[in-house]
Amino acid sequence: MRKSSLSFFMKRATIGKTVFVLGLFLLLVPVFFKARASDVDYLVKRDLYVSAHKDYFSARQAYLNQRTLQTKEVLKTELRRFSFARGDLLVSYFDLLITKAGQYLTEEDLVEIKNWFSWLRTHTQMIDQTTRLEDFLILSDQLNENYPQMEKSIYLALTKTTIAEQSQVIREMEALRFEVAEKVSTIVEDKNMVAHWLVEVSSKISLARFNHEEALIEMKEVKIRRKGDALKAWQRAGERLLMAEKSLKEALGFLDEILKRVEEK
Amino acid sequence: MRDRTPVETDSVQVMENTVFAEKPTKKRFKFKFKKVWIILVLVFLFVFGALLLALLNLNLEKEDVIPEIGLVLTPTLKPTGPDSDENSQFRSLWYSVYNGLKGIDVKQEFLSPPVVELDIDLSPEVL
Repeated sequence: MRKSSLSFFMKRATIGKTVFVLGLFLLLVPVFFKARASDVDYLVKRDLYVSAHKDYFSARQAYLNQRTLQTKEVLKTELRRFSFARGDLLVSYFDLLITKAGQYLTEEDLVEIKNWFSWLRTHTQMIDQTTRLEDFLILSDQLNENYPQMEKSIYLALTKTTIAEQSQVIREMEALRFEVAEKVSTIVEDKNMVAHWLVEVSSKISLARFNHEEALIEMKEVKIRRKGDALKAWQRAGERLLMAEKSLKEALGFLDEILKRVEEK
Repeated sequence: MRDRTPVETDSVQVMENTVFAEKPTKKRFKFKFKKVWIILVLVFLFVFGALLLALLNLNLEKEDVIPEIGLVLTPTLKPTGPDSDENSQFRSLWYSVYNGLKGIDVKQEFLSPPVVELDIDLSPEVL
């Protein structure tokens, strides 16, 4: 009797443990998948696009060499598949961008990106449903026309993302500077030098902010005429962002030296 | 003529066979249950191990030297002076800023747009 009640409790404990482990596992699964879903989806769509691109060019070459009805039909099929894969890849990319950049940017900053995302999704669905060649040509032209502006929105979002990330670091750095400045008043030796370094920290932070503004101006004021214009502006903005990073590293270096003096006391 | 009357010994044999046949089934069930349990524990450990590694990875690169700074600068891993709570707090804030800055991909390479072919030859002679 005693033995059976013991085994009954053991069974209950085993069931309880199993349910606990399963519950934990099930709780973790969505967390993992949510974080990785957009990354994985994008990488898969990129592979599909590369494969469709290769197949389209092979089919095109085969048609140009043989000029038969059969190769022409294959070319049309491959062209449709390629166009759909391209649209799908861009949709997936914008989804990834919204997820990742959304961690730093406000809704207002993401409006343009979200609009392009909706437009691309509709456009890709239309490509998928189109049967007439004329409609297909119109849709391809629309993507060609819109892509340069789309590119500008992408690079503007990337610029804002880097600025937001660096600004977060600046806020932490300023808090540290403020606290260290109070502590410095207790140090007698090197007081003037440390005070000078604190001024340098502020100056480097201001320089980083100036470069942020310049990077934004580069991206906002660029005139887009063709594909690639936004990329050139992004490269210039990128230089500004690298300069901001350099200033922040220097400011961090000054703070490190000040901390070493504080720690010596 | 073949005798069709049921024989008692046959039915006993059948029963015995049935009883003996059930035992291995139970054993197999237990074995499978243990297997599932082990797999669950392994999956659980793997998931937490991955999470732990991801968290540790954030602090593994502390010993790097900050480049491009004319001043000195080898970040001190431990305070050089008396290890007061206040100093530790400053240093941990400093590392937080340092790791934050180091973790930024200024050129956002992973988020750069994919290179897609836009100029497709759609002329009538190709289509």
